[in-house]
Amino acid sequence: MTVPIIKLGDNLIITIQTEMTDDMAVEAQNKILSRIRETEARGLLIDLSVIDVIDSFMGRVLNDTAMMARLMGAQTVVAGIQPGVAVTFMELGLKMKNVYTVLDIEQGLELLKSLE
Amino acid sequence: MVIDLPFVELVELRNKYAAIIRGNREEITANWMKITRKKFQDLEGVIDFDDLTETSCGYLERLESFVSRGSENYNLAEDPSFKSYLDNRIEHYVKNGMPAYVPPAYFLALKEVMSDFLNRYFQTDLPLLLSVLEMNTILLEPLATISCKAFVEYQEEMIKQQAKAIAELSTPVIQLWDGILALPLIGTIDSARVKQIMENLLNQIVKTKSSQVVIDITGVPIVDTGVASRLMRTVEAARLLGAECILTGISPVIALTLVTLGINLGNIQTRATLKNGLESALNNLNMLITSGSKGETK
Repeated sequence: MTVPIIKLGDNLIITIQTEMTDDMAVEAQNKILSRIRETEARGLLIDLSVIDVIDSFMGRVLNDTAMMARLMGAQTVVAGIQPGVAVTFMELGLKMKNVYTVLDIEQGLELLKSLE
Repeated sequence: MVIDLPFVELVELRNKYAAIIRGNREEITANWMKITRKKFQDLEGVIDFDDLTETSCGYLERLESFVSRGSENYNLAEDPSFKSYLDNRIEHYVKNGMPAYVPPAYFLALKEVMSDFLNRYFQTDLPLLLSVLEMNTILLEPLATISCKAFVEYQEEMIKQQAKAIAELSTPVIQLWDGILALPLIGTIDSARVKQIMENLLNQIVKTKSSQVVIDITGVPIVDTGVASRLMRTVEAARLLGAECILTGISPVIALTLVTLGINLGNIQTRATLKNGLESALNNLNMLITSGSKGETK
């Protein structure tokens, strides 16, 4: 199953709906980066609200993707991180320095608008 | 520990032992209580000796029935009737504030009393006396440990329950306004508590969709490196959910310690008081509290 990437104005919205394997994560990363190139997007909104478990690899890929996206001119906002996931990230020492985090997609879109 | 006697004689010995208890129940109880009372004179107001006398009768009954059953088992703790009675009584006495050193001494007093009686009954037959005294020791001495263990275990259980209750009471998350939560922290923040605080806060953030959290540490007596790093973790976790934290209530002493220890609170917003924190939070949400006449404001 591939991750759908939706273009909305200057932003790309990605909703992760299932837990991803390592391969899927890397594939999604490549796809996102090439879409940013194609669409010249200014913002990247990743929704994790349905994901209850995330491993360290996924966390790193997420952080790396954000860093790469910034290099390509897009700000990354992650929406809807669940409490359990946040605790896991803390325990793994993943600080997610490169991303903005918001409660839900709605606030994410608002934030992206204000960042423009 | 096994008494060196043929099985038949052993059974006979046990029967005699049981018969001695049966025949002298009242006297044994009286002597037992006399010794106990003497040992714990200073606890006159704490221990209800009438109640304890009743309990002693209960123990004796169960001891007698256990011995007269004539098996080769000497472990009273494995006797369900005795053990459940013991647990029940110990629970009762823990609740009534009996000190933990009482039960062992209490059971050793019974051993003493029984030895006296056995001496009296078997004084003509020395080898038999030795055997029966040994049996007495094997039967009653472990009770000191068993009772003490049950006592301490029950006490620990109670302490655990109380700690849990206190922890639950002491980590409330309050919604101050739409989108603003307050987390007043009181008391020492150890790793067990911080886990609960974090869980509580994160769940509330999601539930109330709050983007501002005011953490007030006025009630935290000591902030050292450990507490600071735990606080930072909580703040980071909240940030991952999309909530911004404002730290308030840092007293001069705590500020001094933080600087002396070289602790860097990173990029957390800090304000002097909860009031200032609320102001900042409202400001971050582009909200303003203004005065107006009644009915005009909503």
